[in-house]
Amino acid sequence: MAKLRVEKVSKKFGPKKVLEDISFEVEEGSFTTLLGPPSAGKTTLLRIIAGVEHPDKGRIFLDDEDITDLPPKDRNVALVYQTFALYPHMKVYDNIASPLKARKLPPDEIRKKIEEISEFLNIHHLLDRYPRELSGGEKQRVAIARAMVKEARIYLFDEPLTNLDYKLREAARTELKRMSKALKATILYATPDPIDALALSDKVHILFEGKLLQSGAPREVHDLPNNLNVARVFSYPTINLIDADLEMKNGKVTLKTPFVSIDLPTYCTSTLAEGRYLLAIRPHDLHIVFEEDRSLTNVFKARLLLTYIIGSETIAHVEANGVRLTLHLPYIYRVGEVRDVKVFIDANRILLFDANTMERVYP
Amino acid sequence: MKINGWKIATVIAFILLTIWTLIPIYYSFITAFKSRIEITYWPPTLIPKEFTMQYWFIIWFDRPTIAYYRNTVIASLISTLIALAFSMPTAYTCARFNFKNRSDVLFTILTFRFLPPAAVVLPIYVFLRQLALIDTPISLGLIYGAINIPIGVWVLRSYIIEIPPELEESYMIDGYSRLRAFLNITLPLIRPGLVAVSLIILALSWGEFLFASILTTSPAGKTLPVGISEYMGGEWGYEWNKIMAATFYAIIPIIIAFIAIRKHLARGLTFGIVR
Repeated sequence: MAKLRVEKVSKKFGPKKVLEDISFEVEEGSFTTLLGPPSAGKTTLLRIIAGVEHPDKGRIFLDDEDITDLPPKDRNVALVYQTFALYPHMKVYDNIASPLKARKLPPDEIRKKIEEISEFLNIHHLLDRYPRELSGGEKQRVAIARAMVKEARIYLFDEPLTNLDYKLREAARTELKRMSKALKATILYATPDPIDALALSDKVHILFEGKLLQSGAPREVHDLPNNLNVARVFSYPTINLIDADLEMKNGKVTLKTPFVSIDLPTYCTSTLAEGRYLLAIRPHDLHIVFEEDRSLTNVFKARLLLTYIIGSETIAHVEANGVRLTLHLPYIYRVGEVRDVKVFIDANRILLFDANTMERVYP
Repeated sequence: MKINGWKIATVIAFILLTIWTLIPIYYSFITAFKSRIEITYWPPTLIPKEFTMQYWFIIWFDRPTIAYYRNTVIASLISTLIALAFSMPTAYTCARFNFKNRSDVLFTILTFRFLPPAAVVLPIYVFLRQLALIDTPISLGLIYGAINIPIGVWVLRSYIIEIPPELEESYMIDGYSRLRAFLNITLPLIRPGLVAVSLIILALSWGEFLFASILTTSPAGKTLPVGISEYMGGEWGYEWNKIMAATFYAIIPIIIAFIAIRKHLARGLTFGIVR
């Protein structure tokens, strides 16, 4: 295992800038997530680190060794593709053996290593099959086995869970967590899924349209996104965005939205100016109020349009004075028809973004 | 199975099509068993009245048919090897690497195939005479190889494009060179295409007439199509029965080859089309 350093990497495909001046580090033995929507440049970045793509500018270092110009075979990195990239004409055994044979290990040792890894990933009964005879989840485990068996300096994962159905995804996520702990490997993991980032990683880098927007501990970045795009990328379900006007009167700072007015702390008079902002609130920070409670502020009326239950949780869509909002309720909430509800917005959890720069201005 | 009007019509159409295709072949075949007189009968006989096998033997002795055979085999094999050897790297490069004017390169290669052979046969003749390669199957093999490179490039490229580049990349990340990735991953996966295109080139070279007729002079230097055509005219007039017998000997190896690899071919011919 090794430490990875990406330094000012840029890449263009034709006129399109895919990566712009990307710099970050992956600590030795850490699980780092590259979180970004599709076509953010995640795959290109991983391919550059693996050596199958060359950056236009910038350098890649593994343990302070500049590997930018090394061919992939001399880098000793492993990459698990989103499509798994199993060799269709080779049996599972030979697929996993491929990186070991490349190193010209003796057959006995190869056999021993494959037995170990297939035991660990529970695929020993598949070794004699061809990739086309495997299910999606099995293919994925074989792809991971092929990467793991290599004892690479860094393991790169390109959305390895995207092609799995959600149940398998859950199981595979657990598996990955277990594997990363067991291997103490350096892992860089690209995903569009905020849940992966929160569940798996020690550190997250948000990639958006070829730019690195924010880096940090997953929880930190999740709770305090610097930028509206970070908030959008790092939110499940999608974060609610509302146009809001900030007004200051007699030392009071009030945020006016079409359906509710929220008082902000008075210190905001010095940090904020009057004007138009974008208010962002995560679906799980909106709550339905069932009992009348006069002491509760920031409650507004809304029409409940539809709900659907996912497992033991509920996603509810409401409309408040022409604005559509999504709620994520941690319980089962069954309603037959459209009706009025009262919704509480947690003022401690709101985020304000500048409408022009998209930067976070509050809190 | 449900039987309806459409199905019956389709079956009948296919039967007619088969008959349409097979009748000339059948008629050629029985002509080889007819005497010279019976060939001129009107109406023509569909089953020989006097059945004779002699022409099937004579053609091996009244002309150097064995030499024709040998020349055709040598020229066809050389051409197939050359066409594949040159088209494979070109096809791979055009499929895998993005470079300036790639489509122009591909189109230019294709236009070489559209060139009428008659336009270049004389310069080639002069050229080969200087090299003392006239009248050899090797020279024919070289030329057939060259003119079939475009087919090889286009067909093989379409096969290589179908193979996801991730497979090669993944293999390189495993610790192999690009050449090894090509040999161990891409080549085995495009085998149906390779087989199909080899056979197409082989068949095209096998039946080529124009270059063979002009670039060979001695009786023993000719190929099958040219040799067979020598039964036309000359002192004995048109010897249709010998022509037909020789033709059947000539096409049998190709038919056997197509039957032997038809599984590959059926997949091969549709592989590039159905995505």
